[in-house]
Amino acid sequence: MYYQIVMTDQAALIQDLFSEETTSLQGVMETVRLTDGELLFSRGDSGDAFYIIETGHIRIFTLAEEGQELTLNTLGPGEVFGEMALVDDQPRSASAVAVGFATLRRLRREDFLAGIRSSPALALVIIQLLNERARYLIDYIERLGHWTKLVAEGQYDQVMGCVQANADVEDRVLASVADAMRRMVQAVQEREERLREEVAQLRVQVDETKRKRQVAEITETAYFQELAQQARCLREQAGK
Amino acid sequence: MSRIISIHSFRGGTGKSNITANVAAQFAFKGKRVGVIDTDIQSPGIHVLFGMDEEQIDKSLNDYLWGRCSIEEAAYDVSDRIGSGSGSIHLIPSSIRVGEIARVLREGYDVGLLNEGFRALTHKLKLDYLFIDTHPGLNEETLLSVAVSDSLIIILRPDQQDFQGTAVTVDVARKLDVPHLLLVVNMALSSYDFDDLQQQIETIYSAQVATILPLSEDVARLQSADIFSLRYPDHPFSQAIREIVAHVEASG
Ligand SMILES: Nc1ncnc2c1ncn2[C@@H]1O[C@H](COP(=O)(O)OP(=O)(O)OP(=O)(O)O)[C@@H](O)[C@H]1O
Ligand SMILES: [Mg+2]
Repeated sequence: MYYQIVMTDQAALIQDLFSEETTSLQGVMETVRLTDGELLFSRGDSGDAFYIIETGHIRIFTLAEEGQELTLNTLGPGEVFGEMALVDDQPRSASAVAVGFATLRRLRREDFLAGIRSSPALALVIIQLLNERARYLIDYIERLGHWTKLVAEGQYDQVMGCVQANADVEDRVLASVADAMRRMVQAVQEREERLREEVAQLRVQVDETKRKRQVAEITETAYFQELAQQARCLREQAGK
Repeated sequence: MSRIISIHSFRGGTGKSNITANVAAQFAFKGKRVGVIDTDIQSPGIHVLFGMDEEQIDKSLNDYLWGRCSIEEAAYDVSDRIGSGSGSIHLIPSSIRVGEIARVLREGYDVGLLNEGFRALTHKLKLDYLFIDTHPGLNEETLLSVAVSDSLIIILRPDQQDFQGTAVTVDVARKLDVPHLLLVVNMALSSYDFDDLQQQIETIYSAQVATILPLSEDVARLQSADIFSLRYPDHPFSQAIREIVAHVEASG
């Protein structure tokens, strides 16, 4: 049983909360428009807002150790991100850039914190969002643990089956973990296969020149020739 | 008619003592009268497999070779190892006293006495089979054991050095007209293609491979403290031991 995050529900709920004329929340969320390739925030920036995507796509990326961009996730309409920044002001752990034109709704931390005083429903919906995210990650870690155990036991086919089933989960961070797992299993399998082939191709080889010389060294001794003679006699006697 | 069977390998540590003890025990288990003699005077060891230690060894092959006793006085009935109601096993150990080993190395002995000893043993103990656990390499007493044997079982590991040494051993044994020659491969990795290995070896040596024994952690774990095939009869190693038994039976 796997939990699947359906952020869209929360996004709609939040949108509704902020447009209800009866609440003081009305007008607090602002619209952000981005053009293709425009950077929303960079890794390391102080995070102070949460976003809901209305139209277009946002690519979340980080820099790999070698300096290339590593895409963690690409989010689409109805999806949300940055909810962790509503609670604390840790620096952003990744960068966000628009893919094509995009319209977002932004909720700043200070507005959120002010808003929850008058709207407990807002606090609840964000807590639910964070909770679901945590649950999903815990579940995923459990699955990773299970796959690792299968790898350790050499049950590669089973791992590949599980990984395949997870290759198209909605959260692409997790999909990329699954993909890394798949590549690891393939590499391990290939290495094992190569080793097995090396071993199986055992060649029985004998140096024939050396063989003749070594045999002669023994059979040409006086002891050996006498022994061979005696052995012949003994066998003849026994045969009679 | 009793038969003399030498178990030999060109290099040491191939499993001679373990295989000899197991094959001998299987024959005794089937009701045969079996002798096992340790002619590896320089580095004796097979007594360990039959649960004997230094204190239990009074007379040994060394005493016979120095003329201090008859060969059958150095034979120990270790039949209780194989359970009651079957055949019997008589073990003639080599001395494990350092002084005795040093004397052999220093003075040597009359190799001809070995042959007389073999004959006396088979006769006096009415043996069906006498198994000779030999010293590795091709020294004089080993050549003598081979020369007087009805069957020679050569043990080799799947190892380039063993391949070369075995080739020499096979040729030498042929020059001594050994009537029946068998190869046994020991300590083969399970990942090897056993059929392919057997075919290659039979082609190179023009000799029959009785079986290929797998390298087994279970065998190693027992540390030669017991006869493996009696304790774990269904283990692949034990099945392979019985294949050797069947080949020996079929040859005579
Ligand atoms: N098939 C096997 N798998 C694993 N271990 C084995 C196997 N056969 C033998 N051994 C182990 O290898 C070691 C050497 O065996 P053994 O003493 O029988 O060899 P050997 O040829 O008599 O040696 P030596 O030349 O010293 O007399 C022992 O510890 C034994 O338990
Ligand atoms: Mg030995």
